[in-house]
Amino acid sequence: MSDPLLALAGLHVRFPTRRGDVRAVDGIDLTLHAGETVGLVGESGCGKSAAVRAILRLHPERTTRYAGAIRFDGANLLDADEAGIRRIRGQEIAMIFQDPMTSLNPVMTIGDQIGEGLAAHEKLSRADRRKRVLELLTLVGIPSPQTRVDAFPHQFSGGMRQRVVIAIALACNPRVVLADEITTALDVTLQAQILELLRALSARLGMATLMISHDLGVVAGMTSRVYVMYGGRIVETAATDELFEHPAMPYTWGLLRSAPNLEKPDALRLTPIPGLPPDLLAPPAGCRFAARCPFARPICTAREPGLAAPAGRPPAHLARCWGTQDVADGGWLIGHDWQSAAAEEAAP
Amino acid sequence: MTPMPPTAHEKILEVSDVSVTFGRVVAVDGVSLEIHRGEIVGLVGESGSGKSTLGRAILQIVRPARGSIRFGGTELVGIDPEALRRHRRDLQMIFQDPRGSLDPRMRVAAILAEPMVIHGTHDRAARRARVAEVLDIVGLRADVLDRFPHQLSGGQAQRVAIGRALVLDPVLLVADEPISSLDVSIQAQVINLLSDLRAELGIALLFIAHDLAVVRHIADRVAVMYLGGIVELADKRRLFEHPLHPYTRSLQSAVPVPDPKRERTRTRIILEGEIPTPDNPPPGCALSTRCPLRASLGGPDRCTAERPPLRQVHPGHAVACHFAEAADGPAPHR
Repeated sequence: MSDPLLALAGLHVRFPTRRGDVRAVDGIDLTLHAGETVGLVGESGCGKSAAVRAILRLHPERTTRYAGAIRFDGANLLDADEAGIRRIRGQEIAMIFQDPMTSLNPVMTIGDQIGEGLAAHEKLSRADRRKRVLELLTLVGIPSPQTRVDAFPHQFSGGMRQRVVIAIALACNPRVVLADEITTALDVTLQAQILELLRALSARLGMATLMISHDLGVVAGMTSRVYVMYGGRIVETAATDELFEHPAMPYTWGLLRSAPNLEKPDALRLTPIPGLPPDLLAPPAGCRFAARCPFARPICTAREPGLAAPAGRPPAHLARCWGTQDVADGGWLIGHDWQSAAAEEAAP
Repeated sequence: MTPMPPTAHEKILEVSDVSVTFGRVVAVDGVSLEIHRGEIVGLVGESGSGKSTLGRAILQIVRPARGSIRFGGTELVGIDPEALRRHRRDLQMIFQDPRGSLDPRMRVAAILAEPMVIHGTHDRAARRARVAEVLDIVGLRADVLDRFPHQLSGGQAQRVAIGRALVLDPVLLVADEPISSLDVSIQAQVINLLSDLRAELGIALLFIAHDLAVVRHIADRVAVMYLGGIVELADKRRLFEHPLHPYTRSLQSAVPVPDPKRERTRTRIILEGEIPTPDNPPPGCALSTRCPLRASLGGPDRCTAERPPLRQVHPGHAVACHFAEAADGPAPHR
């Protein structure tokens, strides 16, 4: 495979507090190749948004410590100066934010907001810029762009605002789009529209997309590879089909078994994950999921497992679990059928 | 033959032709719905469908402009405040944001005891005993009693809110999006807790949600709302396996399924545009401006001329669509 377009290598994001550093992202590796759509899933507080915001250095510089590397086009974005990172933002790597209400400026017309990035990054005449803005509004499916371009955000509905936010992100033809929970604030029929739009745009414009979501259904339909994050770490990664068919890490099992599925028998009782995620001020020494894991053994709290291919799975599938690794004291979950366990527990 | 217990199939709530207006906006437009003792009814719809307003109207938090809401035989519409207060014991609500609905200056013990103080139902010792019981029902440990809401996780806070609603032994709980602010793994805990409450205490539940997949796990019957009206109402099985209203079918097809292979092969019925604003609803059927079924039938005039009534098409299955029979077929997600 060719070199990745974007690579996080041993990335740490820490927020110092009086009680010590919050290790929001604690040494993660992640790659994104040209043109692919990759998912990053996990629950609130697992570090997925902190990691993605770090890529564009959107955290306040004074209160954030970074370590590791974010490689884009051969350069380490963590070493870039302010001017350097501004050249990247919007032009090379763009971000689509979650809440279309708060990510738009209420006192600027949407045309001006879409044109803002173009004005900063590309030398275009005023007329050419307006032409490009109208193209973008058409591209994201806003009806009658000629009249809508001079409207303000409050004159748009939620779904239309999210289309505007997408148009802003795409204004300078970025090579990478970071999409942070972009449909979470939308109703399900609007979500279907926006995901359909994003799918069509990715195919047409060929940008690479890193899609952050807590919704396994969204990730299943949109991505070709997935990373699962827990407690600041990547705990599992694989091709999307492989991950949903042969998940190896009990945390991933937990996510899949607790999510309602329209196509599973409705009598099936959902299986919640007991307990709470770890405190990122003082993460546990062993596996970060061990305290909530029904399959944990003493080795799990003693030593943290590395990311390794689970026994019998393809090498591109990696999981951080002693139970699925064929090592001394490990391997007790090899061949374990995670779905049948769900069925047993569902019985009264 | 053992006779049916007198309480089974007893209607505890009868909403008849209720409308709620805010100025020119008709948020709920002539809705009728019944809930039986111990039954879980799911009320599904998107933002602006009027589902939350209907839930609030049942508790008389907003007053309907028209219609009748009978709870345990008593008419709640226009009831005097003192009488309403007595009925509130039996009729409780759980809100979406658990932290926002708990007083930040009160400890959990006081939050749970407050309804008993307000209604003067228990003496001090009995209150303490009841708080302990409720804590056990909602699966919290006694050490949370001394905590303030900000010291609770989202899931714990929602359990406290549920506990507060349970303390007076209600007959009906109205739960407005009780899990949508929680993480997936925690959502499952709360869904399971609510279904256990019905199984163990026989409490009826109106479960308001935007998420069809969640409702499917908990409800006996499901009502789907669109722009202020119920467009389809059916037993759960029937609704999910045999949806007839084009809106229900499109809603079902839009829910993502955590299965990549199915996601690639499913056909989605994507509704064009967005839900119209309730201050200017389209004439006739509310869905007529976006309806894929109407489009496939060549745009019959009847859809814009005549508002379709909610009519029974099968025992336990009612649809508000003139051409529901034309949509008959397997569920779109299969």
